[in-house]
Amino acid sequence: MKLTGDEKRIRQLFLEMSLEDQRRAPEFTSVLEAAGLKASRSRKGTRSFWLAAAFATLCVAMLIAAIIGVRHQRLQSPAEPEEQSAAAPAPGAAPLSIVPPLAAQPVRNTPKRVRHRRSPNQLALAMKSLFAWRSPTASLLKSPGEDMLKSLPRLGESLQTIKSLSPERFN
Amino acid sequence: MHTGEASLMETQELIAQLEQHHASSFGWARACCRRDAAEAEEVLQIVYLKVLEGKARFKGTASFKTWLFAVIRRTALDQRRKSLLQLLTMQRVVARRPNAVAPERPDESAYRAEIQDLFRTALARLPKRQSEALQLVFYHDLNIQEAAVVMGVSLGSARTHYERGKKRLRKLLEETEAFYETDWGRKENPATVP
Repeated sequence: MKLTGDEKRIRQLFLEMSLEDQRRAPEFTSVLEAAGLKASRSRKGTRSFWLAAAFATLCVAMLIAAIIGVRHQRLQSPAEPEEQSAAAPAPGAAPLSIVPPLAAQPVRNTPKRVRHRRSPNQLALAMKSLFAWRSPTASLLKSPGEDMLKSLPRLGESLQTIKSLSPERFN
Repeated sequence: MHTGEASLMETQELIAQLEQHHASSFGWARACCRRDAAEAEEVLQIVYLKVLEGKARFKGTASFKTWLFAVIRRTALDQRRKSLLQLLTMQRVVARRPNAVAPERPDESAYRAEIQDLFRTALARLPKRQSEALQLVFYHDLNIQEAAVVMGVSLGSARTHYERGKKRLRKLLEETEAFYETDWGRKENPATVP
């Protein structure tokens, strides 16, 4: 390239600049070594980053599994007493239970809570049946002199009572 | 085994090429890093890593020097972008900027150093593309076509940057008093008796 006067001067200035750069330029080997060190450091950094990431992922997975396990356990635990009460045979006349028997319920695989809403008629019926229910062992609680214990004594009756309870009567 | 030997040869060749162009690469890296020597050295380290690890591959479409300079330019730009994103790096960049504190020199060298400072200041005031075009042509002896490849622009665009850069640099240098005293200034000054 043919240079004009200005261009020659500019080139001269750039030449001086390049001489200064050459003086200040670091050794090639030192730059290469520093590059190697940087590479090994970055590799180590990358490795440790991935290890940390893997550990964090494992921790998160374990936490999620634990949360799911606890929730599953909580959902299952309230169902157990119901199962027991349903499995036990009802003594005497079985009451009309509010909760339908477990066998009648559809088998649920998923631990979902289903809310049964009852109509007012159904509820009244259930309440009535609850009040009408008598225990089958209630008769065992009755004693022969129960009336006497339940009523107040009146004047003139005490003698009769004594007479009726005298041992002669039994003989 | 053969591929291993071949890659070893390639690596050795690459190292030899890099060593051959090391001084000019450093100069170009400085130009790309606003004359910051420390930043330029860091950029060179990254570039050498890229080249030796095969992240930047020389395909032979241009000369090795042209390709290497393009890699240096891109890397310097990336580095600057990264450093701008870091919050505290701003302070470091300011601290690293070449300060005007020059070592004590004899008169002649002091004068030359002053001229160089003024020249660098004028160069820094040029638009980036123009400055790049001038540096590639005058400093690194590339022709405009090669400079265009390094800058990643078309030949016409590179030529425009080069011409405008020359004019503007000349104007900037004429404005400074020191250059007014030199041949350059005297020639342009109508009041001066030749």
